[in-house]
Amino acid sequence: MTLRFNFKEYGDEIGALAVLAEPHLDATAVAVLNAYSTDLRTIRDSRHFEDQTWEIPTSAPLKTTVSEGKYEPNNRRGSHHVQAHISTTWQIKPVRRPGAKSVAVQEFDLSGKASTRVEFHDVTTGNLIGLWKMEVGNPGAPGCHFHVGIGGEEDWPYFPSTLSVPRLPSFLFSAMSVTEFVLNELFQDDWPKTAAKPHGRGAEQWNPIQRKRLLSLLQWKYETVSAASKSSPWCDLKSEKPRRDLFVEDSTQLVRA
Amino acid sequence: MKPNILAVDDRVETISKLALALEDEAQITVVGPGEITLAHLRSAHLVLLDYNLEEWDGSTRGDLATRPRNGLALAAVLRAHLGDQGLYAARATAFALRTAYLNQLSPEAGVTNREHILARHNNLEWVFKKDRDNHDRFLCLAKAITELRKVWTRSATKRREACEKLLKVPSTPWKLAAAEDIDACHPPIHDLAGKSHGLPLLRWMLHRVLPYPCFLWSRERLAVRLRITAEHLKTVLAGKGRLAKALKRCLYTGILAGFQEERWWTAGIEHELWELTDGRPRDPAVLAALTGSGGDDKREPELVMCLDEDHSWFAEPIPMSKAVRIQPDDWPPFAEQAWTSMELAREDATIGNLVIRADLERLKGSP
Repeated sequence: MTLRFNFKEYGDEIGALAVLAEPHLDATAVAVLNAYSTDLRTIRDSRHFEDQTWEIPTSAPLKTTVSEGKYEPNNRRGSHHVQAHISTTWQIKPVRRPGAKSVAVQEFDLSGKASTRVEFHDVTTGNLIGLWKMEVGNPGAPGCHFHVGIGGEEDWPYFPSTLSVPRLPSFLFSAMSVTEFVLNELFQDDWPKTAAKPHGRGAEQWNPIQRKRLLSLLQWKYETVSAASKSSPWCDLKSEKPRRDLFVEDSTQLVRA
Repeated sequence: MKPNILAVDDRVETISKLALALEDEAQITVVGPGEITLAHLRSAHLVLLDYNLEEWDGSTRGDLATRPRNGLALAAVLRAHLGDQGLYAARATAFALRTAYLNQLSPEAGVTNREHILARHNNLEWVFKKDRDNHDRFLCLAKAITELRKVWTRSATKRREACEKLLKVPSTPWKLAAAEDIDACHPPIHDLAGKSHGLPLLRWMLHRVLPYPCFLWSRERLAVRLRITAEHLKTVLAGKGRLAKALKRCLYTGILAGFQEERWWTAGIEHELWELTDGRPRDPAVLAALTGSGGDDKREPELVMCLDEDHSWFAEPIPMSKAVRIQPDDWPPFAEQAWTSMELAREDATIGNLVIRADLERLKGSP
């Protein structure tokens, strides 16, 4: 079962993060995010109802500012000066709505690969010191539907490209929510303060989007574990696939709860 | 319908050429400042005033309060008379100045050559510098007023539609995207548009939209998007290839089109590039093949247009890594980020002071 998403929500998510995270993003980020958002809208209006690639390419990634060891909390400083490079590729398909041709397209289906790649670069040495991918699995793929894969296409001594496990369970999958995760890791003390800033800094738009999505996801996981089964709860969770409308259902009740 | 231009000058003979040049396309009335009547004002779409009125004795005789010292002061007087007649609230009339010395309108460094900033800060629709032939722009501005009077509506619920009609948002697959882009630039069509008969919308186009990269792109900005030089863009536009045809479909033709050279719809460009590149509109190699620029994959992924110390654009874009973000005082918040080169920011204190706080460290770093 493929997953369905709302164009507007994803466009709003990019716009909100661009404002909220601006102090922790590199000068090039505004152009990268603008291009990412523009491409989503162009896909929406393209009237091509087949697979299309929506991406931030690895060759022009979203870059954070350099964390000068701020990945340690409580004002301690780590030894690395780290900059994250975030790139992403989603295969998506706009959903044709019944009615006239002019009816605006509102939703898209995830039709293939959905992977967001995070690289940590030590800017002092120029070395790549960390690499993982946060992904949404294909309907038939093994492992948790929302998972993290370690390593990339490169053959390292640990986690070579030929080793497809482990697929660590996750609940962040959009490129923007992964970016927030990365910022919170690199700026342990600063990001929570930035994210807590009140009105006018993107949080008023960012928080409801993330809350709604996480509630939908956690509710689904909760229901999966709650269901009576002869298998172990973990095996149930690992094998369960989300229903298509999980993220486009009205989650008002969940938010209120 | 021909627009009416009321040209006011203390030396009437100096603008007789204007009357001759535009007589086929506009009704031109040339008068001295002392000869202006309410009838002139009532019929005018555009009141074009000379800034310097020294040869008009009305500027030096009589009570101080009755002597407008220059065209700027006279514009305020005439606008008040229009308001007195109830005309200013009933229909739009544009007021513009002609001057040889823009710096008389603002002593501030960095904006002395920026006509739109001077107009905005002097409560005028436009300020024309006399050193160039502006006849086409006079006509364009006057025609915009005729169009505005025709299309504008007092009905608050129909103003968005009127705005899109004036801008001639094309009926294309990217119409919705273009409308969203316009909304993001906050057109003054709501609480500021009740009794002003659309004049704030005209000013918004003149002062806030056309001079800046937002939902319309200039030739320079378009070249940056296509990753080609402005010179190469000329060749592309002159050609008959599929890119040239696609760009033609995105050309802006709405109100004030041509007032500041040609503009293209941003949403249209993105849509056309998506189609022409099979969904790879940012791939440098694909773009190079499309534009026939030969391709240079060693170029940086992102290029930016930069402003110089006079707030004019550099002739060509530079790599983003050699640029810093700036925040000029009057830069619209909805426009794309303003940039200048690191080199210029270090050399020129006026523009260096505009660098945003987040980029100051980069400026101090390696040259």
